[in-house]
Amino acid sequence: MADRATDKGQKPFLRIHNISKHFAEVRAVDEVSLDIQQGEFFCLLGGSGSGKSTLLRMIAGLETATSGHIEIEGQDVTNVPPWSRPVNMMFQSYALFPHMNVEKNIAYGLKQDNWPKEEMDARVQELLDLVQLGEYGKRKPNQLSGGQRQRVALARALARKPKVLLLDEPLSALDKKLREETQRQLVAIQKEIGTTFIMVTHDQEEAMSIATRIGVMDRAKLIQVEAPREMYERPANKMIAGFIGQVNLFEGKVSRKGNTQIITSVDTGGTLEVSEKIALADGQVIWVAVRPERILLKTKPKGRAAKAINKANGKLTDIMYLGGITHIQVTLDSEHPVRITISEHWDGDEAKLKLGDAVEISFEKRAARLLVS
Amino acid sequence: MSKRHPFVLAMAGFGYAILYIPILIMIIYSFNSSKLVTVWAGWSTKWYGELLSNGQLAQAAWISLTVAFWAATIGIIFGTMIGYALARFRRFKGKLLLNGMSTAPIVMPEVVTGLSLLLLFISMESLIGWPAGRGLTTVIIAHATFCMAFVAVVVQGRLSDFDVSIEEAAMDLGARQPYIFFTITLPIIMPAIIAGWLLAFTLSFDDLVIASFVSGPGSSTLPIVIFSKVRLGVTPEINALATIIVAVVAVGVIAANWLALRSEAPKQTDESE
Repeated sequence: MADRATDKGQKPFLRIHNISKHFAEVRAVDEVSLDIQQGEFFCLLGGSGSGKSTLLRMIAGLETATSGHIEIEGQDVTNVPPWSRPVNMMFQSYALFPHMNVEKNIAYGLKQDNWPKEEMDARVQELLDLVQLGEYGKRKPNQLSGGQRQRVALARALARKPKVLLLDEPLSALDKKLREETQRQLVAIQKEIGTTFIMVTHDQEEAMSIATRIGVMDRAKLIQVEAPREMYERPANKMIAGFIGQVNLFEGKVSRKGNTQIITSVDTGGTLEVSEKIALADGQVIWVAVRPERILLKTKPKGRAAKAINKANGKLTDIMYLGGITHIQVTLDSEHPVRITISEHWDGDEAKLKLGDAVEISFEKRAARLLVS
Repeated sequence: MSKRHPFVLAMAGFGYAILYIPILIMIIYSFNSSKLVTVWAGWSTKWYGELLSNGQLAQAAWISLTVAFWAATIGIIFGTMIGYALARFRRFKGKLLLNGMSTAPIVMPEVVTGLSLLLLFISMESLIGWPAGRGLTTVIIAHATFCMAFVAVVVQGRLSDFDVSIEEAAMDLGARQPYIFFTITLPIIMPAIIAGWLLAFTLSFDDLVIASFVSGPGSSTLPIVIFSKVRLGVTPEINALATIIVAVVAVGVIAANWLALRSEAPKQTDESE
């Protein structure tokens, strides 16, 4: 797992080393190691039950690790209770104190640290301004909208100036439009204060648009850690390829023809070629992944492209026009479905496409990724 | 289902009629001007007046109110402790047993509770000299035991839908127990505790059986006095008194229900700004 951030020779700000959490027989988190740098906006991405929230709660100290340890700025905090960790958390339900007004909610953590009254008031006002709730200090949580409550929770979690802010699906309760707006605000706030953010989410688009790096978790394991672009371009396996964006997978089998290895595919009915060089064993089953927008579509194919490279024939089985782009599904002669996204830059005439049209699909070598698992 | 079926309405009507017609008749007869309970002779409030001037009943009413106040107050302290502990314990083998044990006094025959408490008080008196004899103290202690059980159920019910992450958030912000309990948990569940207090108060105010076991001279509660009077024949005065008790209990129960409803998680407003 290439971790470019640590290659710079810096000491990691937050180091998670071989951490595991078992609940009775269930392994919620299984030997996860992860280094996070100061100022990162890190997203832990995974489906439900992948262990991402448990990992976050272990960083907060709300769950005790079964094994492994966590260091913040070189200090081992594995056994430090949550109230003494330089870490604060924003909860999925926001967990605002319903009987306290916004100011008192934000000041609760400052009171624990015995801030003097004037400084505390100033800090609360500063935070209210940061989250643009200056006028709402005296309101109770149930007098606020969902978006406002979310911002109170953020202000409260930031009040004690934590070294790391943990966010547990902070936007999942908001509707789509508000969520996108709030994503932008979160990024802006994170840039402004420079605190390290670690956010848990199941929404890959959210992770892609916010994160400096993404860690994908699946079944208690951390599968891949990459920046969003690299994750999209170089998914580690089929699961991640399908989880981060959409993907077409063509199954292939490695065989030897003379001195060269070739990959034959029952899905395309021809051979597959990719530009990356990976050592493969004869007889190995592999998959070639191609993003829908990188598949080329040609109407009125000239005859059958038998034994062709990265090419197949089929017919149109679904057309979904979305304005700027159009999603198309082609069912190949092998019954293998292929998803294609075409934009208005496509050289054909999208309006003339009809269901049942015979088409040819193809993709370039460099548009394809070879996956072995 | 907005449309009410006539059959369902009839069922509800029949049930409530059986429950409330006797009480309604009693209330009507408490305004009867005749000295004979069963003969109607026109409206009057004179029995309420007589009641006020009856020193024995006023004394008993005062004792009942005192007992109910202290029993409910002791009950909410210990009941909240039990309810909180039971709601916060993780699942373990003895939990079901503990749960059952906390609610047993509710379903235990009152005769058994009364007798066992009486025996306890007598043996305590001979061992440590306290409580000396039976009186107000013993009635309050006896009532507090079943009040506790009721409050524990109410508090546990409220805490079962309490968002634990609220307590976790307090912990994350640097607070520890028991500070979290007193600044966060207790204020949030307070309406449920007050509802439990009102419920406990009305139950204590009603109790006859347990009180008869553990009361002594000078500590006869209102139900004890009423019961002994009724054995000599029902007077319209008793009707009036019973009507007042019904009113007190109704106010208590309605207030308790209202508070219990209010203490549920506050309604979320919509997501729009």
